Order: sequence, then C-alpha cells, then structure tokens
Amino acid sequence: MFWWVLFILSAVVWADGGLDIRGSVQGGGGYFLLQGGGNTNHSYGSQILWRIQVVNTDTEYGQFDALVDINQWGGVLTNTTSGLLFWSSGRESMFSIDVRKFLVRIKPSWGDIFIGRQLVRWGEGVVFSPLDFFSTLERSEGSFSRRGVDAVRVRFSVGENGFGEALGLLSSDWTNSSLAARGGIEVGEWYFTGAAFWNTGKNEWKGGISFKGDLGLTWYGEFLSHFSTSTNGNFLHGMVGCDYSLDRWILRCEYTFNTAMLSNLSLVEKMTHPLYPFFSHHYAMLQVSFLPTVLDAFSLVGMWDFDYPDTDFQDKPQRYSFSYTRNLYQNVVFSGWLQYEQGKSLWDEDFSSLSVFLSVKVMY
Amino acid sequence: MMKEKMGICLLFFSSLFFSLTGEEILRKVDSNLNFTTAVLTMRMEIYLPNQPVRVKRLKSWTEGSARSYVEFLNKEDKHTRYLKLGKQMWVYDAEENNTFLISGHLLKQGMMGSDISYEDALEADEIYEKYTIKLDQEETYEGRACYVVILTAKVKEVSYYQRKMWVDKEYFVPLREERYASSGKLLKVLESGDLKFFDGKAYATRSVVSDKLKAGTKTVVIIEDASFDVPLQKDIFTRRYLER
Repeated sequence: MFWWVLFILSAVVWADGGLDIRGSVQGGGGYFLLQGGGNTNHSYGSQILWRIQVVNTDTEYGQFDALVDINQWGGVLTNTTSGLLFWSSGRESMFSIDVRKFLVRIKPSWGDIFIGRQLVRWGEGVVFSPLDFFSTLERSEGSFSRRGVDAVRVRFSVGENGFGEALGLLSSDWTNSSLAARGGIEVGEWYFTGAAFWNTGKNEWKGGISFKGDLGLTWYGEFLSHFSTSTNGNFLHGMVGCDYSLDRWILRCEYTFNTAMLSNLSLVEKMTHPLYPFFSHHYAMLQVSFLPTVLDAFSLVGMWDFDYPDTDFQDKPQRYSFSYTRNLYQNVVFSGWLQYEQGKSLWDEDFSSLSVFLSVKVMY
Repeated sequence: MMKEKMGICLLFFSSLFFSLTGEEILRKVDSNLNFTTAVLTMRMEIYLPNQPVRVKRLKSWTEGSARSYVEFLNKEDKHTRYLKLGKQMWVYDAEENNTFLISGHLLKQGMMGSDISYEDALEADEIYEKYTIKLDQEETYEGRACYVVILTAKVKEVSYYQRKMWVDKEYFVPLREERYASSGKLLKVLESGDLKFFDGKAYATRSVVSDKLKAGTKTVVIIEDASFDVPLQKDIFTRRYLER
C-alpha cells in the first residue's frame, strides 16, 4: 500500500516537470584473504555498479528523488549481495538491484513532507554516530556510506538554521512502528540538536543530543541514553570527535563508548541491535587524509577496539584501511583500497582478513 | 613668483586634504561592489600541470556580503550545494542527503578542488577590523593607473598576514592582489580583468586565482551572466532551501 501511494505521488510530481537523470558506472575487482576457524581462503571478487539518480527538475510544489544501484557481482562478493532484487546470473555471478532512495517531497508553505525510502542522517559522527537511528553504516565499502529507510518525515524550519522534524517508520502492524523527533538550533557559532526515538513494539526509548563547533579544532559529539523494558536495555551511548586541517593534511579522530551489558545475543539480535556493528565498550578511529594535488587523495583509517583487557594490544580487534583516489579526467575517477582487519566475527570466532580492490568510476 | 608659490602650496594642501587614504580606497571598492542582491552564473576552470583543464559551472545567489547560496551546474558536482550564512558554511550532498557544517581549519581547504578556499569565500567585511590599511604608492598595472594598497594584519585570526592590492584608479576595481604569510612568502595571487559595466558600475568578469604553494595550478573564474539588485526567493538562504 505504502509503495502504491508512493508511486502515484511520484507520477504526479514527475508530471510537474522534467526528470534530470545522472549517475555513474563503476567497475573493479579485488583479492580477498580470510583466515579464521583454522581455514585460509584466497578469493577474488568483482563488481560493476551502475548508479542511477533521478530527480525532477521542477521543485516548486514537490520533488521526486530516486537513487538505484544496479550491480553485477562476481566471485566472493556474491556472498555480500543484498538489495531489493537479486538473482544468480551464472557460476559465481549475481545480479542485484538495490533501491537506495525513492522518495517524494511535498512542500506545503509551512515545511516539507518526505514520503518513501530516504537517507536520514541525524548524527555528526562519520563512523561512530549513536544518533543515526535510521541510516546504518555500510562497512563493506571502501568509503563510509549509509543506507536508507522507508519512512514518512515531516520537517519545518525555525529561522535560517533551526528546524524541527518528526519521523515515522511505517509497519503493517501499527503497534510495531517506530517514531522519532528531532530539533536543531544554532547558539553562537555552535550547532546543537536534540533527538528522541520510540519503538512502540519493543517499548524502547532513546533520547540524545549532538553538538558541533569550533575551539581551535572542530569538535563534535553525540550523547544518547537508551531506555527499554527488555533485559539490559538501559545504557548510555556516546561519541566525541574532532577534525583539523593543516596545509594538505586533514586529521579526524573519533571515540565512542557504551555502557551496554550484552551477552548471549543471537545472530539476528546482533544484526538488529542499535550498537551494531560496534558491540564493545570503547572504540577509537583515526583518519589521516593527504591531498597533495587537487587530483590525488590518500587516506589512512585505523579503528581500534579497546576492550579485551587480558589481550595484548596487537591481538585486540582492529582494522586499517588505506585508500587512494585520482581524478583521471573531468568525470573519471580511479580508486583503490587496501584493508586489513582482525577481530571477532558475529559468531565470536577469531578472524583476520586482508583485501585489496581497484576500480574506475565514470560519472555521467 | 608669488603666484607660482601659491600654486605649489595649493597643490600640496589639496593633495594633503583630498588624496585618498588606503582605507578610503577600499571603501570605494566596496561601494562600487555594493549591491543588495546578485545572481551570477560562473564558469570555473581548474588548470593543473600536464592535465586537461577541469571545468565546473556554478550559479550563485548573494545578498549583501553575509549571505550566499551556490549550486553547481556541471553533472559531476550537481549534487553539491553551499550555503554561506555569515561566518558559517553549510554543505549539502544531495546524493547522500547529508548536510554538514564546515568550520575551523577545514575552511582552509580548496572548494571543489579549486585554488579558492572556503575561507576565501567566507571573507566578509572584516578587513577594516583585522588589517591596518595603507596606501603604498601609485603605479601602472596592465596599462591601467592603479593605487597600490597594503593591508597588514593587526590580529592573529587571519589567513594572510599581508595583502598587497592594485586598485584601478578610475573604476575602483581591484586588478591584482598578492597574499603573503608572516614569513613574507607569497601564498596566493588574484588577478582580475575583462571589466564590464552594470548600471554604470564596473565589475571584473574574469578572475585568476593562483595558489603559489601548488606549482603550476590556477583557477580561472569567468562570470558568464550577472544580474544585480534583483528580487530573490524569500527562503533561498535557509537550510530548507539548501536541502530541497
């Protein structure tokens, strides 16, 4: 029903103006080494991604915005395939279609109403973001991108910079829906938001704040409190981060903590837990980017899990990734990344992995 | 003889009382650039050593010196928009639906890979508070008679310790500016030309920005279309419009 209403609204908005179609085609392949459970696997993977973004050009009364990924996966990457539709297209080959965004924005004079699959970013953190209730981080990619949710969102402005918004995650079972609200305001040169979330089915509450401002370094943070009637459902979750730029270098640090006491969670419970994929109490991230020319960008990211007090540092879970991008032509970008990770899998088994992936993206 | 002496005295006193100070020259520059609103369509050409030129097209809506909104028109950057409100720069990535505030030292980075930093774009009316302004000399630059004005920082919170500007004497348009670090090292050069007249006021429609720390690079900004003092949509300088 939700999608039918959305399609009808989309058609009405399309009729109001033309469509602007743009996107990119990205192709690449890589090598993956995985060690765990006494086994060592060497494998290859490939991906051809055709990303299409469609927006309507007349935005006076409403706007349509869709972002669709059409993927051809090869080798070991067929195991990571997800999306709205996917099917095998040969031996070790999968084809998938993933609708990342598909929404209509209606613009009454007092604000905006967003209906459909949308990316809802409420946090300030790049990697650790407790306030991002809805758009979870995709870790499998070389970059940090987030996924959309199917929702109805209402938003209104307060002055130039302030705003208030409310969001509902619809469910066929209304008593199992989730509701959330957020407001933002500028105080001096600092920006603050406050957000609250209620999952009616689980009777779970969350409330938190975020801030961002400049004190020599740029500082940002998010603090969130979880309340739930379920066992061990009450805990604090927070992060602080800062960034600094010096000549051609950009440094970013983030630290996150939580006070949750988790044990004996099933795989499904882990995958749907608000802390996923960071279940330990303390993590830190350091990103160093170097931009020697306007064409080249290098980035090194390290992430560390500071739990496991009886384990030496070198054996604690940690992850390092190094990436390089080069703008080859006006609309062509080469990118490559190398990643090493060691830690515990969702099945609590020790593992380590090494992967390298090279790709070329053409924007149209 | 007496007449000649009086003439010299008059000339001396008139030059004393009627010549412009450095600050007056810059105020005249501001007055020439004074508009309530401006809508500009621009072409940005980024030149790099041994590389084909990268071209970006953008459109900006400006009100006074404190508020502006920028959209990129070329397909590679079409999802990126900027909103400047006073000293704050908000950036919106329409593909990721992500709005973020650029602040602190990140403002020193080049906008969209150009030689123009966010800080350059944010610069407003603060030069009178932050710099001591002095008329250095008059000289001819590119065949035009110019005032040479030197700005020296009197506070620490500036991007450039010293700035040297060549201002056209007739039209009060800056034709060249050199920006220096406190060590005396030349950091950036801005050159303007192709003067065009809008409502009797002269504007440079071609500017070249060279970052002297990056060898062989320059960014050329060409104003393709301009209209001044036109009514703007009411909500254009809001986050709501940025995120539309």
